[in-house]
Amino acid sequence: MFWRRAASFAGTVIAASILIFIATEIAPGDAARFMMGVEADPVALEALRQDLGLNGPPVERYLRWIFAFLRGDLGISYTYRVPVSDLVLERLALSLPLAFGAMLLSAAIAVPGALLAAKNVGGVRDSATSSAAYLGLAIPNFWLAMLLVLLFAVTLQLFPAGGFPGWSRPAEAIWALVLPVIALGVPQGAILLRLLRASLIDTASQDFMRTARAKGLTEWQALRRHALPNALVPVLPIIGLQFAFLLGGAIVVESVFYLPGLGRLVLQAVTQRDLITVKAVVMVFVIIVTFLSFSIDIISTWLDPRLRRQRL
Amino acid sequence: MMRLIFGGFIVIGLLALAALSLVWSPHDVTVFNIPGRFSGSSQSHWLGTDQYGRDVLSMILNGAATAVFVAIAAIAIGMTIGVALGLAAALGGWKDSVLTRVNDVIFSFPGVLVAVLLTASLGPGLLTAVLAIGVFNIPVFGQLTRSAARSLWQRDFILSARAVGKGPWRISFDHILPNLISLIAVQASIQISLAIAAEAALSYIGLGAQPPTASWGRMLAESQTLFAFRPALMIYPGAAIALAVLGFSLLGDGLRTLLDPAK
Amino acid sequence: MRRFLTLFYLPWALLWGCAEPPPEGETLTIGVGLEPPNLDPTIGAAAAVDEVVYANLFEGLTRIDRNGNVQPALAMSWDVLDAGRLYRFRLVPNAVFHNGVPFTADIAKQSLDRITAPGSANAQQQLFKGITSVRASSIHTLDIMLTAPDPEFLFKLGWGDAVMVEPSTLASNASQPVGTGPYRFARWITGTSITLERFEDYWGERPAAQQVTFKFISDAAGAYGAIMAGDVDGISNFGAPELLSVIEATGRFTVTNGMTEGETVLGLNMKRAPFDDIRVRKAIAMAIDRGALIDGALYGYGVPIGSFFSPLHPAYVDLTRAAPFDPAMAKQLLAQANVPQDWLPVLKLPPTGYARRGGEIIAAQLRQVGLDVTLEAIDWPQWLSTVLGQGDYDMTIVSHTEPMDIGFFARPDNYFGYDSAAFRNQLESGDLAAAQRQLAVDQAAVFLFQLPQVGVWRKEITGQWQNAPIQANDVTAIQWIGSS
Repeated sequence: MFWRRAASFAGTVIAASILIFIATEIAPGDAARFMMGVEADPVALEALRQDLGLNGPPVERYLRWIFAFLRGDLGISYTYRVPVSDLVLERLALSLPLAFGAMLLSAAIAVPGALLAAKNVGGVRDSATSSAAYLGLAIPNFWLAMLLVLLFAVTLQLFPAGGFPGWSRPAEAIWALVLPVIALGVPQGAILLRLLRASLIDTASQDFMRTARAKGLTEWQALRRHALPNALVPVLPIIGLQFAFLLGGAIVVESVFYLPGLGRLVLQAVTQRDLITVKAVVMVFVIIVTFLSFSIDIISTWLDPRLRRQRL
Repeated sequence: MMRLIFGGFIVIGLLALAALSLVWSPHDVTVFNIPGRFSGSSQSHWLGTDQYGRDVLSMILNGAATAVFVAIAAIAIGMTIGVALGLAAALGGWKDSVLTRVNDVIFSFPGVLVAVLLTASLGPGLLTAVLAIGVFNIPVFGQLTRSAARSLWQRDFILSARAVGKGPWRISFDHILPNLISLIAVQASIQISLAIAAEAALSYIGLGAQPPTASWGRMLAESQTLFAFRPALMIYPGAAIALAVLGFSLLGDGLRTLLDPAK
Repeated sequence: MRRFLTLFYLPWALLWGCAEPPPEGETLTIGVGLEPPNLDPTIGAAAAVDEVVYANLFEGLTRIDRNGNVQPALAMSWDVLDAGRLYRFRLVPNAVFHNGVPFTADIAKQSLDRITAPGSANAQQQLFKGITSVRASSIHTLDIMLTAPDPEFLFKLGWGDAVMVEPSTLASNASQPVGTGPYRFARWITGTSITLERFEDYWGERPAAQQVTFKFISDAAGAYGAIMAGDVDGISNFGAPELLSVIEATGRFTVTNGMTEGETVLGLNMKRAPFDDIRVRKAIAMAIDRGALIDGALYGYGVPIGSFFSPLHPAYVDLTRAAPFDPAMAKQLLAQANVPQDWLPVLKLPPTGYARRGGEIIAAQLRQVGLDVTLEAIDWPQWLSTVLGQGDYDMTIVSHTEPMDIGFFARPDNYFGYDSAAFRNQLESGDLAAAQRQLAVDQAAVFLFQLPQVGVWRKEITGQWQNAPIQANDVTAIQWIGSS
């Protein structure tokens, strides 16, 4: 089971790497000319093209790229002229905490919200939370971000409108991430709430819940202690997908707050035709996401007693 | 039931306004009137004018056409390919693993990055947005079709069709697909709501609609320097997106409840 | 439930607790639009490099001041000998590089030789083609021999591309630059900022700010937020003129309205019919209302031009009335030229505010005279390779930001497709007024406006440049009024 999954993980990554390579190969525009500018000398241009490895047959270039990637050599950025791996690590230092923060916030919204709703299905609280969840679902995160900027940065001037001071100043860095985390986390929280509520209602009707209630636990205790852990299992893969979404999809929210995250790096790279960076960053994303869904697969198999029994 | 009515109402209204904007809108959005920019709401401009003196209401209506076009085109692509792959996968064997592989690869790209990659080779534009959103919808429809089709294959009427000697592909199209239509329609409605949000997001970061195409996402992007003194320019397009997304997802959920025999 | 709540909300409470508004520092923070790709001005053309390092970190033999005049820098003084073919520079004796290496005539020679060497990566090497030899005649005396007299030579030496570099740091200057300027490199947080620190062993007058941080803010909305929130002390080229009235209304900022060297043009590809017909070019020029364009795209900041020449230059001739706004006349000219009914030229727009907004407005204005154009937004690499490199375009909008670049129209393969012997002769003989007129008469492009340089600075700050005769953020003269 583990090895079959691992093989498919590797296959996915290889297939994705080929797609990435092809997409960046057929891109128009000349990186060398972009680096050298309007007045560039043709001889200098050709020398640079050679230097960047822009010449040579595609298969050879693909193999060279992928083997260098495996060694941790992500290439040198066309525009920044520094190793792409440095750029990626720097940007991850923002993107990971942002995604984690948003994840935490969405859980902080979804878990109590779903418990409240599931406790009394069809009640006032249920319809209130589900209406709120619909709203959270419908409002695009970048619009929410703009509304937050308008209210908290422009009007009330409580938070910075954007930018990131770097982790060398931790208090300011966290302060700068508050609005982005809210903008990213709230809509995700709404999605998670709906899923978790449905899953809780499913679980609540099962036998062990009846037993728990019979033991004299209140509905609330039964839900929290018994239903919640079980209800989380089917939601787990979704959380994995959400994390992937938060990591990459944050690109839009990063744009509102001009945060130097991984998403914005790849967006800037694609408009500056820094294809080495585009290739590398997209590849890094693919690996993270694939690895995540692979581990979640393994974890849910291990967590879910029913699945485990089936496999045994 | 409330959902269905609300959702249906919003969706029909949206489609009607989008269609209307193709032939008529209160003002011509291709004419710029710079001295008349940033006006508040008035008799002739219900929602005021934007930075080029264009009528915001007309821009919203034209934006609706763009949003609806992109969303429907993208979902049509994703649905056609996804359903075809799903039907094939339900036949089992290597065909099943084709779908799994395709899904795995597509899901390994976080949403926006499909658009980024396509932009790298095709340049930004509506076509890029349609393709990126469409590709991302293949697994959704593929998975749905596969699991529903597999349970149908166990049913009696399929067995009798087999007994008559129909091949698996004929059965898929003559008997399986018609039984999946309502399920697919429900999913399509929900996916359209997500596609509208996705088009807005792509246009907002500059990978979607390009000028002079009116687009809600682009209106939001342009309003970013203006909302400090004209917040209305950001409020209206954002509200339009939220309403459209809400409409299609309510419609989808409502339809699901209506069609689901279990509830 | 309580334990549960604690678990989920404690991290948030903690975040709230330790997050405080930033403290005020004793440093200067300047917002710039583009992050430089590297920090070595001698190996590429990116203007963003000069905007950080020019005059602050790297110095040349001469420098260009805020009014576009040549001033001594690492060369204290010079003599022009041999009828303009020999320049003898006396170098600053006590200049040292940030790594401690003293600046000498020998290093100056190596810096200049590197520009003119075969296979040089210098983007402006053609400026220095006239150099026949460079000689260090003593430790602080440098002789430069030219093939022919060049009145612009001292100006050319002031370009960022000709700054003095220390031979042992050539390979690392891109990321760890070492110059002779009053500031030395401290750190670069890619995607965020570059920080320079005052260099205490600087040979000249020490600047006021202890530390200067250049913060990259690519979008105008971000720049607005940053200046209003006090994240930056100033922005030399503010990209959202629509917000200036809001900014001025606060009373906390000075708004400077200056000019860059950027002549913004609507390029028409004369190698393609019907743009080869002067009536068509004239018609397009007359269909465009420059006033409405400047108002709509730049909110009134920007000076109309009628030729390819900066209004700041003493030899400037006002030709803005050569093709006045006259839609009726434009229609008539188009009719005379028999422009086909189904003609649908493509207007390619690079990714700048002035081009994208200007393109939308120009398209709307041309529609009024019955000419439909398709807009195509492209990125810089595509613009450079298709428009500039291959001349593959119908129409484009771009600003030519190099100083004194009228000679661009004399180049053999300029992308406008302009080829006029008369114009080349006028340039050759130095008759700049006639050359400007020739371009206007021939309608070599549609000349739109001089790109503005709108600065927004905190009221307490003085000494910043108003105009941008070269693309730089020279912060060496910046001071605080009544600083504590």
